[in-house]
Amino acid sequence: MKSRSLIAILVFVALVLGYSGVALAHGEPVITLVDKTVKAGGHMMITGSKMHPGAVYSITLESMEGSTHLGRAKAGKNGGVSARVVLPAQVAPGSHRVRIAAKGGKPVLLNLNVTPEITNKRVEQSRTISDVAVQVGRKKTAAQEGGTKSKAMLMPKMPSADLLRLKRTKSPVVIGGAVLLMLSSLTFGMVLVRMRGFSEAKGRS
Amino acid sequence: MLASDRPGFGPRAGKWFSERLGLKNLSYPIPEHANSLGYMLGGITLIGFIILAITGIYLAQFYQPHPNEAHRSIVYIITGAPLGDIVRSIHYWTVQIVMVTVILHMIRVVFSGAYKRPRELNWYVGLALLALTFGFIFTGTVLKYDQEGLEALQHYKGAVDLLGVFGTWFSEGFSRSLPLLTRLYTAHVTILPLAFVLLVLVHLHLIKVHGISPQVVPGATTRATAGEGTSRFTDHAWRLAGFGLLLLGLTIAISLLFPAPIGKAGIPGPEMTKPWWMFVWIVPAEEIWGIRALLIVPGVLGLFLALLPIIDRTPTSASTTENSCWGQPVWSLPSSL
Repeated sequence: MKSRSLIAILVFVALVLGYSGVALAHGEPVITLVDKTVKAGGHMMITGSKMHPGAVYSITLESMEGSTHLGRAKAGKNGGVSARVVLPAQVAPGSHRVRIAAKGGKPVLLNLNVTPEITNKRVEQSRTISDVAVQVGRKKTAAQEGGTKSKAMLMPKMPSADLLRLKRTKSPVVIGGAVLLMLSSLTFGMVLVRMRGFSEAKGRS
Repeated sequence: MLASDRPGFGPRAGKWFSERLGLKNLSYPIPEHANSLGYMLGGITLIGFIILAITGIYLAQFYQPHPNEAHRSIVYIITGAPLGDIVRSIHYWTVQIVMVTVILHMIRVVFSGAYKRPRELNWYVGLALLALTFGFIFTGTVLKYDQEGLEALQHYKGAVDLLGVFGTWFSEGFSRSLPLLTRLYTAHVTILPLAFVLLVLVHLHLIKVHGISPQVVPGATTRATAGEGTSRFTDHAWRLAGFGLLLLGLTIAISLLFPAPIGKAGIPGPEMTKPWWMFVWIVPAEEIWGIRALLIVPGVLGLFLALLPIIDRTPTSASTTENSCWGQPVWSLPSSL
């Protein structure tokens, strides 16, 4: 009876704590990206409210390729913040996340879509490639005609069966853990496979 | 009762679970030959699929099923995600081993005549599971979205076009809101696993109903063996768990030595790659008939396998007549293990 009462009290406390957790969330900072899609090399605006007045927030771009520190922003006396940060030009197009966090505080993660950077060079390259496509029909290439543009710029990417060479370094902990799991699997597996009449032996004992 | 007579924690815990889960009911009799390697290949395959499900769930935490991001996310799994490279490699090598065990299991079933009465329906369920396995491998190949994956997708589109109105569901134009890659990912992680689990349950139920197929010895018939034998299913299950652990250990070892490869990001254009070894049998036909071979060859082979129980109605265990009994020498080795 006592244990049932204890369980009931624990469930009640958990429910109350869970509810209050939701309620507290209303007091958390509200941070937004003005533009959800930004060009690589372009800038993005971040606005925030209900932040700790005077707190310094670190802004980081989290990508599959790694993390890039973009800058810092300081909240005003009213708890609001407005920051303009520049996105590096070499950021890969696609989905990324912007991480905004004060020192020791809970980070806020925002989704960001990065589109390819459009530079004069790229416009020139795309024009050159389309020129090639047109001129191939006339049995002429832009390289033959102009001769000044580099070969790399003229050649569109071609399919390749080559494998990607990646840096596959693993920490000693990962390798050690994998080896341990492998050896224990092989050992216990061999024991179980070699063991005959398990249930009969168990029954006799 | 003396304190020393009291059973230890392990036996007491075992009894507690056995009482509540009815584990004693699993200790039903099965023939001794069911514990030989040849007759455990199906179970080993099932454990392989469990490893694939677990590693697949882990990989799904990092994979982005969108054409613009898919290959990039695979590169991230290999280079950045925690344990990503090793888990992906285990997934990759388990697929290779499972395909081998599937083929060997099927050969054992054919040679031991396990497709005959009364197991015809289970044979069809097995064929459906084989088709799903190929479906898993094909969609998994596309998901990489490297050159090999992109070319596999191009083949898929070509075959779907040939299906005409019947291929509408599978076509790129069916959905405007989702790319085909994302839909194939959905198939890989939800539709195919759901169908697979349901069919495996039916497969196991029918094995329980009819029992394992009789050992291939001269004169043996393909009768039901349920309730026969001197061994117990619990012994079988423990031995199967042992083979499962060996499979896991083996895949980890291979994964450490040979991490799963990935090609460069796919670029549409001339065909540069060859399909995986389990699809190689279709290549010569494709060179003769073009993309139509992707429908014709599996269709003809599937039809032949489906007709097998109808064509061969002999009651003997081996798949041919009792006199030739060509299945016995083949299975004498795995049965003796």
